[in-house]
Amino acid sequence: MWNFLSYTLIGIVVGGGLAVSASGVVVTYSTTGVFNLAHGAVGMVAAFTMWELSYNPAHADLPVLVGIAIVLLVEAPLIGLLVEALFMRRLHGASTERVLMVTIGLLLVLLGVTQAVWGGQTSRVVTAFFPGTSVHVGPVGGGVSITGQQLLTLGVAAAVAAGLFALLRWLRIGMAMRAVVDDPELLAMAGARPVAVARAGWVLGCFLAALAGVLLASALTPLQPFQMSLLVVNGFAAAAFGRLRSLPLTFLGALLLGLLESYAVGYLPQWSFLQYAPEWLPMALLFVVLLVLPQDRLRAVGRPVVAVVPKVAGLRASLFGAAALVAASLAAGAVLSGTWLTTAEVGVVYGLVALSLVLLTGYAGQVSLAQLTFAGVGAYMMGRVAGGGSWLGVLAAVGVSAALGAVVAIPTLRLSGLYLALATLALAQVATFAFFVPEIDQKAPVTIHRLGLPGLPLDTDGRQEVLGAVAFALAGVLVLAMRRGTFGRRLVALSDSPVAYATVGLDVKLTRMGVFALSAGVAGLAGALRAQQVILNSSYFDLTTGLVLLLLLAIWGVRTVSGALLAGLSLAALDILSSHAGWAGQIPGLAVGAGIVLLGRAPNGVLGLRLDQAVARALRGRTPDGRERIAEAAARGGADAA
Amino acid sequence: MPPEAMWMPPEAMWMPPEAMPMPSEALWWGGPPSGCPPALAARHVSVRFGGVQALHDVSLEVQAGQVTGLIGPNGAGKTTLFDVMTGLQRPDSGQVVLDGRDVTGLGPHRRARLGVGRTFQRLELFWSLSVADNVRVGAESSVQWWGWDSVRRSVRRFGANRAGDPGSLAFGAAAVNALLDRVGLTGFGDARTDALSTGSARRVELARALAIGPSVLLLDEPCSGLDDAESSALGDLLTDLARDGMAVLLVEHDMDLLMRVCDNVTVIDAGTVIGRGTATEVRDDSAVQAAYLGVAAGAARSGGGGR
Repeated sequence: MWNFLSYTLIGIVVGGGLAVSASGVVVTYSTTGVFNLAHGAVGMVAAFTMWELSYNPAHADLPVLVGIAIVLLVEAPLIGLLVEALFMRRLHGASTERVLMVTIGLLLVLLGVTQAVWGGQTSRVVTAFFPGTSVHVGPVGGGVSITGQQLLTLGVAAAVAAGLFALLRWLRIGMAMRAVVDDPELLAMAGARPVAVARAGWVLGCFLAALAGVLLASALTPLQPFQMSLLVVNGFAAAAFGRLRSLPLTFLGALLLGLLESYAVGYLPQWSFLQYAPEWLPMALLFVVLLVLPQDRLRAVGRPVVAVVPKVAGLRASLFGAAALVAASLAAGAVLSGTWLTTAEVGVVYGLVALSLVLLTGYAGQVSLAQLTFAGVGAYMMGRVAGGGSWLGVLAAVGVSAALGAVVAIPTLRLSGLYLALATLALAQVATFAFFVPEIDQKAPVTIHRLGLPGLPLDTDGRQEVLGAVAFALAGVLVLAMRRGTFGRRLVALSDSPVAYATVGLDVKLTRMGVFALSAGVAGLAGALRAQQVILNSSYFDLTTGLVLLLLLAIWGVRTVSGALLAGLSLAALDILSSHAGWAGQIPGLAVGAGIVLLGRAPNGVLGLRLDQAVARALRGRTPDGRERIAEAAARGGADAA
Repeated sequence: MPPEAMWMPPEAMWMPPEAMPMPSEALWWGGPPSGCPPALAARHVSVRFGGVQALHDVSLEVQAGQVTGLIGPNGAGKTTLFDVMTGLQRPDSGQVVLDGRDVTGLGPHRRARLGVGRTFQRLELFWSLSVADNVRVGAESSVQWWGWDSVRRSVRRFGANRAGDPGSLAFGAAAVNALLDRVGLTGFGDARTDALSTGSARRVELARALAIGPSVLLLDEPCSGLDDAESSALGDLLTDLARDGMAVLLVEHDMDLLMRVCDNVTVIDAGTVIGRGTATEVRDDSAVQAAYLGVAAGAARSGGGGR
């Protein structure tokens, strides 16, 4: 009885913390239309700053209250203003995918900055507020204790709820914040400034993120950047519960989640896949909530701001590129060694995963954050089938991943854009904690033999690298051929206008399922190849790695096969660079930061840049389209005059 | 059979709203008294969005071989009715009947395969595909993408051009070009869709809708953004299509065009049918002017030239 009450209390406190952070996500989303995947990272930076100001044993401490005040009132609003001005303002009217990529980039930049400033092995401890104080209810030896920290969390959650209510209900800026998403232009005409409102949304969102970070710091001590950044992922489930818009429902969702997590810790049996239930249960709940939520029906979206698409390589060009890649890989296999060879070897395989994303995200416009999960399944199959490491295993990896992709696609068919991204994010987390960690990390490593062709064992790193390059070359040629064909046209059409796609007699759901299965199969193949290179580890297939890969692909060009190769190679290179001390370790964060600034301007990434300029020139000049536009404008002017 | 000879019993020609029979009784005069069943019909359709009754007990029939006009002020429910008829919006009550078959439960792509084509008031093109490819996606909609034909085509850019039948697997570049010719976009095949003017983009949508070989064509304001010459050409095209046996339903504000091409016109306002008749009858009716053409038209007619 008292046990149950304690778990309930802990659950409510956890829920309170989640509510604070989730309400920040909702505030930013509902005022700016941007779902901030970097929300947790802002909280993480806040917690680290608080440690630096008030808990760092190396220099004289500021009082905790002063430290907190600086973090909440100076740092968090500054971050919000910077993010809005540098990254978000240009994205008005951009596609959901691009906005998501930019927030992923922001997440990585904040992680990079944190690691640059607070890297190393120091253990950063933040003690609970009001240490030693607690209120005890019930008999001695039983009963429930509430610590001061817990009371504070509850109080802050309640204050946030009341404060947000008052702000949105009574203050002018609050009312403008509610109105801005619906129709910024109308709001502007009514005298409010949408930019000011968006700025307020970012400042308030970052403030709430920092508040959550400060509150949760002592529970997560010693502070670790990755863990803290992804903690808020659980808050996403609460936000989804409120359909990303309703604050009261978000609070309720956070409370339910907190209780669920707490009871899971207390009462679930110790089976292997349940061992990490507290980590994946909220994610499973997020998945379910997204599936159950009423979705917008298929709806006309109208004309986009820009839709410039890179030219698709013809058969001759793609064959030439494939041959060049294989030749380069042969040379690299012969010349390179050590780290460089590993980079090439790992890079082409990550490139293959990126290629599966070109199909899914670049062509069909479906964002999946779980693509590495399918690679992980492929790697797992490679280890399990036919004694580990055989061509049969490769087949099984591709087949099982593709089948799994189709199965996953079925419930997510009705989701699109942001909701699909969140569902796949949930899937990636559940797969990691319910499957990969217990099945791969915590069992004895499986021996996976390296593949061979008759008379040609592929047993060295150099030959593995060539194998990966050949696989990429073949898959790349096929993907490009498909893009030029009926199916490719359909994927692009589906991405551009699902509603028109349906009204010309094509099945939106079937096509989505097809492309999901196909891309999962390609990712599975990559997983099978990866399994040959290393002793498997769940971290190769986790959410963060997947996010980095997706972002790099977006930076290089999400619609190009060569972009996929470059994304894979850069991921491998960044992995190695970031383990370097000194200036080299800073390159990844800087590169990514530059990349997302670029993304705000160039929807097709680096590889699309030249093309964009060419198109701009063509539009200005002599094309029939240009003439027609002028004629049309003249006609319109004439009509107005008359 | 000349279109004007059928369709309405004389006593039901145009009557003021207060004298109109209730829609349930009105069903019989919504179509010809005997013979040819409608190609596409909405029967007693109601749709409610939250607190707004977008459509209330609306019935509308579209006959093969005729151009039917649908007019009404903005927000009257015209596009919602289109969505109901094409399967994008499920009605709260009522039925949609295609060629005698109840298709109310079928999704948009199933109805399109049964021959319902449409365009959109807010343009819905495949903006990242070329003009020709937009039309091709429609033309190839019956092709199985995993089939041999699709593979062959991806290798040879436009495949063999054996026939001009939009439903056939050999529907090739020449047929796409023929469709572009038909809507007046000759030579625009390789143009970027997102660089087109609104008028041209509307015609790409029309060509794409025609490419699926529809028996019923629903056009949502196809003339907005077109100049007079283009509108006139479009009117001729619609007349031709109807003469070939297609059923055309047209939402349009241009009364001159309506009068030229429509065999009959239905007026809706605030989600209910307030009148039916020939274009001339509808134009000359004062109640319709009040509801649809607005005060300005009334003022202009009374010689005031209000503004």
